[in-house]
Amino acid sequence: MADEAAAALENAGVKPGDRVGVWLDKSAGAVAAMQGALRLGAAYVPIDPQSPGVRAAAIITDCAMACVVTTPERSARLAETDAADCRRVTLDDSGDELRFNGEPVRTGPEGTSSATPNDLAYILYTSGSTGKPKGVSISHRNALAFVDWAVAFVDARADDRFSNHAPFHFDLSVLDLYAAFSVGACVCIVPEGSAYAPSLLVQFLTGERITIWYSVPSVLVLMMEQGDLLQVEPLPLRHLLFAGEPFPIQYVRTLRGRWPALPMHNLYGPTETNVCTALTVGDIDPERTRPVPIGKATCGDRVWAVTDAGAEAEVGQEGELWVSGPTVMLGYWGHPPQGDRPYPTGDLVRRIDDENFDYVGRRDQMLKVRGHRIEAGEVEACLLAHPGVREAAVVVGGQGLKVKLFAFLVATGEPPGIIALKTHCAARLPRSMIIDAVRWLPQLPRTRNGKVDRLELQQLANQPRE
Amino acid sequence: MSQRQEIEGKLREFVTTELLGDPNNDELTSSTNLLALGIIDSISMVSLRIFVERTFSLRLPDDVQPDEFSSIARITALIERIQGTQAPSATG
Repeated sequence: MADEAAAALENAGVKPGDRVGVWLDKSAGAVAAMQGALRLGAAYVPIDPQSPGVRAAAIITDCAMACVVTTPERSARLAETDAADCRRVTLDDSGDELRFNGEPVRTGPEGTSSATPNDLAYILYTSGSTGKPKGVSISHRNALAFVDWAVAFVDARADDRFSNHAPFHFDLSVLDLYAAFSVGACVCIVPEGSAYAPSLLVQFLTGERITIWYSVPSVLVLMMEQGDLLQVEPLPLRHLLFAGEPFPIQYVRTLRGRWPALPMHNLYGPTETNVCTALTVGDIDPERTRPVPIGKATCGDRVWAVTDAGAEAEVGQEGELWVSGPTVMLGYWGHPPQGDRPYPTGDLVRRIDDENFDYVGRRDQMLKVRGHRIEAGEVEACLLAHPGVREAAVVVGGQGLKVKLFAFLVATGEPPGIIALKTHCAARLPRSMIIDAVRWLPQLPRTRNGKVDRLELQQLANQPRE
Repeated sequence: MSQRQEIEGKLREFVTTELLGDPNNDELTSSTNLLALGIIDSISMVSLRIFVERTFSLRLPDDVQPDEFSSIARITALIERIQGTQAPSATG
């Protein structure tokens, strides 16, 4: 099927070095489209299947895609956007047949990919603080450094069965797909509907006899609390991996108590570096209240913390985590290349010993809701585009599964309702970035130097409403 | 009030109070798309399912597709369908 996809893309004029969008729900067809692009020496760009057309179009035009593989329905939506001229290959509803210009595809391309290790393999778009999505450009070398590490880390074998929970535009999926491909193992894609029913996720894990599970902690919490994960016997897993957000320690402790011999690993790293540190969870101190540490450098990377004073953090000190090494991205699409420069993650960490770090928090306005990375600025820019909104600040309130995106707004006149604002967001942003709650204020609180006081807003968001 | 209106009324109250945190909301209609607007996500789906099962004394099959929860009208139709199969005598 990947050969057919490559043929369809070649028919559509895709050449080595081009970018190919994949705007599809998760399916074997979507994986084939990604592989097809790589076989032509092109790079693929997964687009959030739940993105509205205007956001998909913004990504398509940002990296000047040669072609988009999508459904006929989404293709029709693109026809009404700035990206109307971009060529499309469509996958029929059954997800089985590829068509270009409505015609089935016949022949496969000759030869193999001309890509070299430093060529672009894929771009993952993340939320951008200025209101525009940012394309994290990953080379074959970047991806391979991570995949080779992951395969060795879990000792992946051909008889393993990987789960794939994360969407393809989320970098957790890189491990599921490519560690499995690398050793000829099976990857089982979590069906779309199951994401909403924890008991189905647990049935999926046991029914598919998953041996390696990798997801954000929120999903595991949901499976434990609502899906009876802890009742599963026997558990088919060989390894349990999680990343994307801190995993509250009480749940890790419960899992450890239930399955003392199960290797559990906390992986850490922004999309820009993929996984750059990891920790295999050992015994957990009964007094510990912080999440488990993020561990030490992986994938041949070097990591260190830089204090506010600009010095490398000593043991016990906090600082921003910096990363250099083979997994550090080529750069943001359309921006100067990263080159050999180390990447500052924006994450604050505490140095525990010579090698290991604890995660502390963010330095900037980047928010996380169940592992989804959200720049406050992107949501605020969207809200400010509503004529009824004069000022906007977005913060996260609540914890764990109860986390919500709060918008604190100042109205220009009669304040629009929550549904009107959510509708406005839904037309422009992916679903994970739609605000959950609105509070209207006469003015936004400011710090002494005039900046929006986000700490104050966060406290307001955590207070019960009168 | 018809039975359908009663179901819709209970769902509306749950959605505005528990999911929107805006009990006095007057914008929500029975066709408002709850999934597309992020009012129901994988987390709030769990509490919605529990609310529906308790309030209407029924059991929702695990494999109901998320689309069936995409609006108050569709959830109402789902409830009516299940009430029809699980408790055929409990109409009226």
